[in-house]
Amino acid sequence: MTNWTAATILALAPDSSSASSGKGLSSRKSWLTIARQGDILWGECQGSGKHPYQTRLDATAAEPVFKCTCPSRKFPCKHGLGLFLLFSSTPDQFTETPPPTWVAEWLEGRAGRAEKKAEKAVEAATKPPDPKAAEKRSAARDKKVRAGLEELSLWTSDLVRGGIAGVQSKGYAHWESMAARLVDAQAPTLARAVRGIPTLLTRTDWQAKLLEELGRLHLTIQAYGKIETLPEAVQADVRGAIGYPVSTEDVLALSGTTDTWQVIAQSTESLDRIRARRTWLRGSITQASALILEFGVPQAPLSAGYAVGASVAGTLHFYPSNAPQRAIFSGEAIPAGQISTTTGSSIAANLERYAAALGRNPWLERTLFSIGDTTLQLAGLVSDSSGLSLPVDSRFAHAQLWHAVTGGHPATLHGEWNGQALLPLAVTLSDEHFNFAHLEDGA
Amino acid sequence: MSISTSRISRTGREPRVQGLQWQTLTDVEEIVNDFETIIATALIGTERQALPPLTLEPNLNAPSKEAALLTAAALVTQYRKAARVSAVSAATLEPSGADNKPELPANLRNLLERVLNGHQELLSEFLELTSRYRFAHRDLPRMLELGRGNTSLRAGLLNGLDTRGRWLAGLEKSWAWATGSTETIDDAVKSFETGSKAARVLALQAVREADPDAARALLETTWKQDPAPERKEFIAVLGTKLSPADEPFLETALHTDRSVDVRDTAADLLAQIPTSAFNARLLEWLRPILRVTTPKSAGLLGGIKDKLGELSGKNSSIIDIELPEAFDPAWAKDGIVEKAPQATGQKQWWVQQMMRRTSLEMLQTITGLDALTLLKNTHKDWKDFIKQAVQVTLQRNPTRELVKQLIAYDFTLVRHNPAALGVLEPNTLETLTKQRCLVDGNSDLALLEACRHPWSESFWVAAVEWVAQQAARRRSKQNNSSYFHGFGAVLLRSTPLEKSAWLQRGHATLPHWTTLIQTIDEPLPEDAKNQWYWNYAQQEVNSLIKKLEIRLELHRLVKPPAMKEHP
Repeated sequence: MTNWTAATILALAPDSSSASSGKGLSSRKSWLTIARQGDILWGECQGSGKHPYQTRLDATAAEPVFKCTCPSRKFPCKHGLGLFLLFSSTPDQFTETPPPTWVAEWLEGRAGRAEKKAEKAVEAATKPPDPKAAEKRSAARDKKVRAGLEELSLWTSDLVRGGIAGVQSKGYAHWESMAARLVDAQAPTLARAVRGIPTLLTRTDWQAKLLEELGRLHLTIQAYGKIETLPEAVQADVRGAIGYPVSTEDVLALSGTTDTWQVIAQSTESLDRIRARRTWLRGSITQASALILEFGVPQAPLSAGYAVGASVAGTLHFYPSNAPQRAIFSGEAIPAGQISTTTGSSIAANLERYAAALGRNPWLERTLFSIGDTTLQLAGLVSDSSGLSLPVDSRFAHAQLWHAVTGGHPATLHGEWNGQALLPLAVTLSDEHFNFAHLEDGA
Repeated sequence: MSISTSRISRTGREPRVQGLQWQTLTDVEEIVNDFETIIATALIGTERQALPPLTLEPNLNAPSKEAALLTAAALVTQYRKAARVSAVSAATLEPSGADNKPELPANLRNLLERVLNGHQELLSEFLELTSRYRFAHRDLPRMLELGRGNTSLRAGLLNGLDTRGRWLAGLEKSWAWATGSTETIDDAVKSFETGSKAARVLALQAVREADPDAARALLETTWKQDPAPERKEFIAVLGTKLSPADEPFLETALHTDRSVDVRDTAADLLAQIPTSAFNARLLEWLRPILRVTTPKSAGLLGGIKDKLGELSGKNSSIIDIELPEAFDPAWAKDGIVEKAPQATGQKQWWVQQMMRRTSLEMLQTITGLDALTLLKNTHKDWKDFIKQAVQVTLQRNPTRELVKQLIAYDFTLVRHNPAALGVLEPNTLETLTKQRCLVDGNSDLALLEACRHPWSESFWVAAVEWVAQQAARRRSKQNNSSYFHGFGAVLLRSTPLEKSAWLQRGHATLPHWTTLIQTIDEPLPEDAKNQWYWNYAQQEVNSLIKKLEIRLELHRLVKPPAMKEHP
């Protein structure tokens, strides 16, 4: 608990306006009452309404839990952040008392829900599995997918046989009907790829983009056709490219990697009707990179998440892949202090590693680059000490801030590389791990 | 399915622009060529042309022409991604030097955050009191942005930028205000030479503010070629930092320009230069027109009355306008038009044009009368010209004596002129404000706003109580359906630090204010017609109290530790 600093707390803020409002509520005067019991904090804050807002916060685990009676849909809300900030700066102002009813009820409710969840898990585990039914289900899915891929194969062949010169004039329905077929065939990832083609066609380099996409679809079709001949890990990547779901139970059943994980960077992206948050971790001992993916509905809050710049100790289980990257924690990750320093390697070494990973898993979408001694040039390039450079993603909106915090001096940069451009997410300065992503509003 | 990348030679090359967008990444030549072959074939369609053999994959095995093309696309796409190498960047950014000041401590940074979030009135005070610190590096972009839009904050902001901030400002054109370089002027000159009409006016204005003579010289470089509408706007720019040095140029424009508008503006500007030859000519023309006569009362008694009036300072002189008989051709050269508009007498029209550009000083020189006598004893047809001349003087060069005379004569002449009221002695201004403004039923803040001196305690109490009464009236249904706002800024400015607590929590000497803040959060019934008026007053009072709190905190935090009263 004492590991929380103003910077890591503010990293939890859903956007910059919440962060600054939170700071505004981080003085004792903003609160009618404040108190604590261990790492459980609560306080009452007079807002614009008649009754004060009741703010509760459980900071026992690595992921703090917030609850507030204010009507804000942001999560955590400014009251939660303000209370947490106040605590981190002056913990002595919080007197140790038994929780009042409104806090006790919340704690009981949470304990109750956790219990029910555990019961369900036990129930599921003790239920005798029916191998025959499972096999039947998977055979039925396989049949559907094969039929869908066959149609897709015909469709892509037709496209290149007739020539792609005129495809821009094809109506939306042409792409949408194929995408709908793939949804029916239980291949949602492929469906999303097809649905994305009309957007590609609006670009100036649409010919290259379209052929890349068709090539990727073809690769998936071919690979699925001979999936039984492929190594198990590659099979998992092929299924992933089609959109087979992977249950977390199956992932947790695989052996895990225990380490102290540095929370290096985070990015949030809105995909059609879904918000995805990517948290990039690196093991202090193993140096393994891991990606935690979370999804949410737009506007609705994602969980408070892991604070960029912190370290957490725990066991990560990687999703099966020939180039494992996505992972989940088994059990709760325990806070383990702040990142004091991070390591980065040259641009050449990062590209080399990316090429190797791509060789193992050609469907790899993006990976974390940590580049040492990086500077941001004015032309939208990042360079390392060798003078090599990479283009910066056009979505990066914090070039000025980067220059402000680094002063043009080399720093270790962490960002997402997608094979085309680098999206900077954090830099490690001499005394701080500085996070760009949490400054982005909404997303 | 594994892709061998070893067969592709990785060499850093200069970026090339290909038909495909590689951005700055260089690609291996074989990949570029193969991918272009694939695209060319795909555009035509495999029905008409099969894929020619590729350099990287000469022996593609595929069941059909279509499958061959798609397989090639799949492979080469992966090669491209994996084998992409970076360009060598030539441009290197010179890093910033070390800062000289310590960073703002955390508690002051938090306070700055609060000031920036809705309490910006306190920003200049904040900057002044914290000038021994520099801003945190991460705050520099927003502080530079603030200074871009708000010139009055710049001096204070510059203090906090330090080396890093000035270095950062050099990277962004719109932050050039902070670099102290002449780059902006050079840019402006360039923009004046090549920009659109609006851009040229702005550019000229920028140069004029920095270097008036340079701006005039710049203006002359294109003057002969510029069309009339441009010339009119450009010459008006000289109104900024106008000086006798501008006279020769303006005289030439007045006497030789083909555009009436340009000549007219030149005359306006020349009239504003007290020593100009234009003003000297105007004075000579008006001398025979403005005539002063002192009527003598009849008889012995009348003579005594006149004498008494004279002794008591009363001047009964009357200003007569003697209209000229004929139009002097010399006038035309100075922009006076001979032909009168409809419904105006010809001779009257000539004099009107002259009177329009006179100053109070000139009228006084000609008549030997003071401002008050001029106002009182001029015929009503001409009085507006006198008033106009008085307003110009009040704006440019008000004297305490003149302002006092005018207040006694006609208060409306100075009421909305803070520059004029500002020349009064503080206690005169306070007495005046108490009499004229702080009366029940008057909710005009103009006078109170003009009180920019340090307020006396009794005046402060009176003002606070008056504000409290005015604000409270917005709550009662029967009277006042009008807004009352702007008082917060006035009280914030004029409340001494040690009195802040009186406003925050109320005080025995402020009964109305104390009642107001005790009941400030009480809502009105939903259907009350004066809901909005009361809400405005509520918000303003609450916001004032918050600002006072922030200011107290600011002063507490910047106090040197040795002087802390309660450690």
